[in-house]
Amino acid sequence: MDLEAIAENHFGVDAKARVAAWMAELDADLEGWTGASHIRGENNLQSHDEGRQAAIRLVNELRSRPPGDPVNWYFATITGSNLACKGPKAADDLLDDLCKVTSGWMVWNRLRRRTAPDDTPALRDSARLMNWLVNVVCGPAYLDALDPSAIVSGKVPAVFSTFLRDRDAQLPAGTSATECYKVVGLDPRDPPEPCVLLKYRTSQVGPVIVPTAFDAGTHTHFLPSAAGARYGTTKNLATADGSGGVREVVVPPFPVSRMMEPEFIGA
Amino acid sequence: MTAMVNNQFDVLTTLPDVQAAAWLSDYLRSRPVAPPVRVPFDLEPVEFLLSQVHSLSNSELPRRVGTLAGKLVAEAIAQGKHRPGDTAEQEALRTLFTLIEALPVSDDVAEFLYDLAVSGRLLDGGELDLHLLTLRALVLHQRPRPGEIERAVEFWRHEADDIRYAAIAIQGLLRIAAPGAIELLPEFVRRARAAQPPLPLTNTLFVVESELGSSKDLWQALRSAFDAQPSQLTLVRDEFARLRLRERNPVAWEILHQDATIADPVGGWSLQFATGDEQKINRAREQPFDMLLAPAA
Repeated sequence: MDLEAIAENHFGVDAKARVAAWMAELDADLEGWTGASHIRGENNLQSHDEGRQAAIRLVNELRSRPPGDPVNWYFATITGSNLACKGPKAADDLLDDLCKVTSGWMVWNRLRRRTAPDDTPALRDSARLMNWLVNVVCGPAYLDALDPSAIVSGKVPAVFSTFLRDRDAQLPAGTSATECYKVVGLDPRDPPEPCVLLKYRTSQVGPVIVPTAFDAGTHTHFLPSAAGARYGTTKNLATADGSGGVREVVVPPFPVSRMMEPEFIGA
Repeated sequence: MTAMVNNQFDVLTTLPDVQAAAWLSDYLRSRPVAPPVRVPFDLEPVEFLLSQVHSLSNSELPRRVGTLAGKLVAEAIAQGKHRPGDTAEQEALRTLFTLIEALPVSDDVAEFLYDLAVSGRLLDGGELDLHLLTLRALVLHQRPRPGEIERAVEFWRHEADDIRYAAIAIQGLLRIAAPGAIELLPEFVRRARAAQPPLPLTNTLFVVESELGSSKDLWQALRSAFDAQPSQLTLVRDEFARLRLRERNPVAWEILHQDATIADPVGGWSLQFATGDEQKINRAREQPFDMLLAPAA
C-alpha cells in the first residue's frame, strides 16, 4: 500500500510530506520498522471501500500528528480511530470455531474480575497462578471465575485467531506451550510460562476478517497477505525459512461472556 | 541463574531508587527506556514484566519491582492522581497495584498499604476503587506482629460486613486465621446468593481450598460451620464439584459430604490461632512469599 500516494491524492503534497516523515521515523525505530514494512506490503485494504476509508483516516490523523513517539502514536491511532478489522471478509467456507493461544498472565491481568464485588484469588506464588488457570479458568466455572464483561482484545486491538480445525493438525493436545507459541507465530516465552487456549465461535464474535497491516501493527512475525487472500498467515517459527505458518484471521474484540470453556496448554 | 543474568529488568536493581522508579513508570506507560525492552506483540508491558520476574523467588528483583511500584502508588496518591478525571493516571495506578498484588514488597510499602486500607474509604477514586485495590494487595502483604493479630482479624471481619469487599476480606482472614474465615463463610455464601445478581463463589472457594490444603481439622471445621445451613452447604458442595475437588482432594471431599458433625472440633478458632498459627505468622513476616501455608503435597 502506497500511503504517500493516498495522502497526495486526498489531501495534497503537505499530507504526503507528513506521511513520508512519519514513515521515516518508523523506519528508524526498532519496532516501528516492522510496522512500516507491514504498511508497505499491505495488499488488501485498498480492495474494498471500508479498507480504503481506513487508510484515508490514518492519513488524515497523520496531518496533525505531534512530533516524536511514532510507534505509540500508531498504536493509539489504530485504536482511537477504529482502524482495526478493516480488511476484507474471510472466505465463508472457512468460518468455523476459532481459538487463540495466550499467556496466563494476560488472562490474569485483563480477564479476571477487577471491580467490586471482587473475589479474584491473590497470587501468593506461581503455583497458585497455575492452579487457578488449570482448575478454575480452564474448567466449567470459567464464567464465574473471570469477569464476563472483560474484553478479549489484541494490542491494536484486532484479535488474531486460528481456526480450531487447524489446531489438531498444528498443535494437538499435549503440544508444549513453547511449540504452540511457535506454530501461531509468537515468540516462545523465556522463561516458559503457563498458557491458555481461548476458544470462541465465529457466530458469537464475528465477522471474521483477513488481517491487514493495521491489525498487525508491529507484530514481528506477521506476513502481509497476498491480494485477494482468503485468510492471513503468520510465520511458523518452527521452520528455518519461515515459509510455513498457520492460517490466521482477525475478529473484533469481544467480551469474555462469548467465549467457550478455555483449555489449559501448560508451560 | 542464566535467567537472572539475562533478565532485561535487572537494570531496576542497579539504578538508584528515584531513577529506577522513573524507569519503571516509563516502561509501564510504553515510553522509551534505556536499555530498551522488547515487549512481545501480544502482551502488555505489565504482563511481560510479571512473566519475567514473578517466578524468580530467590532473586532480589521481584521485591525490588514490587517495592518500586508501591512507592509510585504512594507518590501518585500524594499528588492526587487517584482522583476522578484523569483516566490515564487511574489506569496507571491500577497497573501499579497489579504489580504490588503479585510481587513481594518491602516492610515500608506493607505498612503504607495497611495505612491506606484503614483510610482508603475516605479517598475518592471515582471509577477507581482504591479501597478494593488496597485490600487485594494487603491480602498477601499483611504482616501483623505478635500482639497485633487480633486487631488484624477485627479489621478483616469489619471489611467482610460490606458484601463488595467480603470475598477479599475472607481471603485476608484465611492468611492469618483460617478458622476465623471459616466462621464467616456460611453467612457470606447466604449473602452472595441473595445478592442481585447473585455473586459467584468460585474464586473464593478456590482460595479456601488452597489455604485449607490437607488440614483435616480445618476441613472438618468448614463442614461443621455449615451444620446449621444445609442449603448453603449444598451450594458449596456443588461449587467444589465444579472445581474438581473430589479428584484433587478426596479427603476434603469426603469430609464435606459427611453427615452433620460436632460443632467446632478444633476447639475454638481463637484458641488455635493464638497458639500454632501465631508461629506461622511470625515466620510469614520474615518470608511472606514462602510456602508456609501451602497445601501439603
